[in-house]
Amino acid sequence: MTEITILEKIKAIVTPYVQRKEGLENFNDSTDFLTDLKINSANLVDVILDVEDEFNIEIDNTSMDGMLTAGDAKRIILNKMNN
Amino acid sequence: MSNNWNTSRYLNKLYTTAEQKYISEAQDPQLILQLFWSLKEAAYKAHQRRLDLPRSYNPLEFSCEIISEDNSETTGSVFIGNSVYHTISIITKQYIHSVASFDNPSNFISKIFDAEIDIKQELLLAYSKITQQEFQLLSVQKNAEQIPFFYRNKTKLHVDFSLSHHGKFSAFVLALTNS
Repeated sequence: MTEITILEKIKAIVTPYVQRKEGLENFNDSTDFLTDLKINSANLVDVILDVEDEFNIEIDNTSMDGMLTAGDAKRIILNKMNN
Repeated sequence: MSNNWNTSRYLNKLYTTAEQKYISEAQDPQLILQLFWSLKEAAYKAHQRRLDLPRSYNPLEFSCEIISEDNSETTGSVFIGNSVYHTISIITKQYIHSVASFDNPSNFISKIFDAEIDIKQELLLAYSKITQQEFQLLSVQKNAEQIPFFYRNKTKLHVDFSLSHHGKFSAFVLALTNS
C-alpha cells in the first residue's frame, strides 16, 4: 500500500468527524486533527478504532498519544503494518 | 455519544479498570461515562496549562474518582502523574460542565452559553469588568502549545482560565485571585 493510498484512507476515516471542512482541502502530512480539522477530542478514539479496523492493526496507547496529525497517523500505520 | 461506547475496545482506550467497574455498576452508566470524560478533559486542560506541557492524547493516564453527588453538583478527583485535581461538575439534561483546579476549588466563575455566542468576547468582557481594565486593550492569544492566554496590548497576563466548545454549548471558566 502506498503512502498516498494510506493518506487517502485516513482522510476518508476522519471526514465524518471533521467540524472544519476547509481543513480537508489540501489534506497532507501536516494536517492537524484538532487545530485544522477541529475534530472533537471525544471523537479521537473513534478515529483510532476506525484506523485499527481499516488497516487491521492494533494501536497501543503510546502510539495513540503521538497521533495528532495525518502524518503521525500515516507513520504509525506503516510501522504497525510492517511488524 | 459514540456508537462504540459499550464495546471493550472503546472503553479500554479511554477508561481505567477501576473507572470501568464504576461505570458498569452505576445506575446510569452512560452518564458516568460522559462525566468521567468531562473530568478527564477538564483535568487535562488544567494540567497542561499549569505545567506548560505540549499537547497529548493520553486519557488512560487520567484516573477519575467521584467523591460526592448531590442535586446541584458532583465533586471528584482526577489523578495524573503526581498531580491531583479537584473537580466540580454540573450535570443537567443538556450538558455536563466540569471545572478542575489544583488549588482552591471555589475561587472561580464559570458561565455556559449557546454555541453561537462569541465565547472569547464574553470571557474578556467578564474579566475586564471584574478587574476594571479597559476591554479594548485585552485579547486572547494561544502559545505554541495551543494554550490560550490573556494579553493587555502586548503584555501576557498570568490569569488562569479555560474555554470550551462542545456541540450546542460553549463555556468559560475564570479563576479569581486576590491580587
